[in-house]
Amino acid sequence: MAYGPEFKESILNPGGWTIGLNGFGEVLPYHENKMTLDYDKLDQWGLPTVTFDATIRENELNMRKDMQIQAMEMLDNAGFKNISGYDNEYHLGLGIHEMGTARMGRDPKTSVLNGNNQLHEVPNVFVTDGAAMTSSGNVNPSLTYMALTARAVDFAVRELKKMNL
Amino acid sequence: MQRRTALKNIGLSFGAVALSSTVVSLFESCQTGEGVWTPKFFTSQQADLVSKIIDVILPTTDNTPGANDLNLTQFMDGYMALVSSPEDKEFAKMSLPIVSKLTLEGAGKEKFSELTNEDIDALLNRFLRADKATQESRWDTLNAWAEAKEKGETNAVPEKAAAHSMINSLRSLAVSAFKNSEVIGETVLAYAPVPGEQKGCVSIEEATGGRAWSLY
Repeated sequence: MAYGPEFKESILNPGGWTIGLNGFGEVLPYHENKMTLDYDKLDQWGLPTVTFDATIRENELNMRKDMQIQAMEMLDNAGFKNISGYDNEYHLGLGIHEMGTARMGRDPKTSVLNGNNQLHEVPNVFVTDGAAMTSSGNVNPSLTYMALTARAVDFAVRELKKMNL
Repeated sequence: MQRRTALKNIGLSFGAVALSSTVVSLFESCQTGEGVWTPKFFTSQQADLVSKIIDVILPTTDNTPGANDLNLTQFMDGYMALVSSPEDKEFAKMSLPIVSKLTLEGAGKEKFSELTNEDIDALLNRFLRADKATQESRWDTLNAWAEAKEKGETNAVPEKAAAHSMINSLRSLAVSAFKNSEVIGETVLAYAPVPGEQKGCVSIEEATGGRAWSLY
């Protein structure tokens, strides 16, 4: 074909088709995954630059293997043919669910925020984005951010009225 | 060989038309069908040749209009002038004269006006229907040339390879423009701009009359 009447006809008709299945999984909240400020490497305004040091680890790598097998089994059981699996490498940041780096927790020694998204160390500072959540779940996090924010705001307003802030 | 990198840099990428407001207005201006049209990107000779080439690639048939019924040369010219990347423009400016030259040489003619559909068919046959090994070796030649060029070497352009790539790109652009044109998109392909229902198991014949979907 390549050109001509038959070629023209063929491009107006449906061609071959494929279906794909992607797995999404949780990245566990590893302490080793972190973001730090680099005071040796300053930006153009003389401020420290950010070093983002994080990776997926054994649990995630094993989960990827399992997800691939599970997906292929599902497609096979559903009656699909010519099934092939793949594992393109993954780096944190590809799933654009920015979260973590200001962990929520009870102990100021191991966490930045308390249960109300308030800094342990600085009571009048609240962090209400995804920073509190150190584990990136497998679903979209925005509604949770909004819920946490609403709760933090409610707390902050009540504290303000009590003159605690 | 870093084929992808090289291909990106020598303008093989301008096949798919991404719909933007510029593209939409280009389509609209092509539909007014004003008598006199002056190409912005192609020379008038190149516009004439492109129109002849896409007429053989997408000819008018009993069922459906062809490339020239839809003024696709005009669209492609506008696309190259207003939308394509600087790299694509550069590659096209270099390759189109080569295509012109090889077309005339192949036909044994001196004037574009003398070129017939058979001459164009012979040209396309030599390139678009070249066997796989020939095509592969042309990509390799073109890549090697592009990589050398990136390193600052100035070698003679491998003409057949450049022409092949250009003709391929013209075809891709023509096909893309063809499918996105109003006539094909709304009256030939299956067109449902506001899809309201999902039927999970029907034959293609029943669903779309055997045609591909226009919008997806």
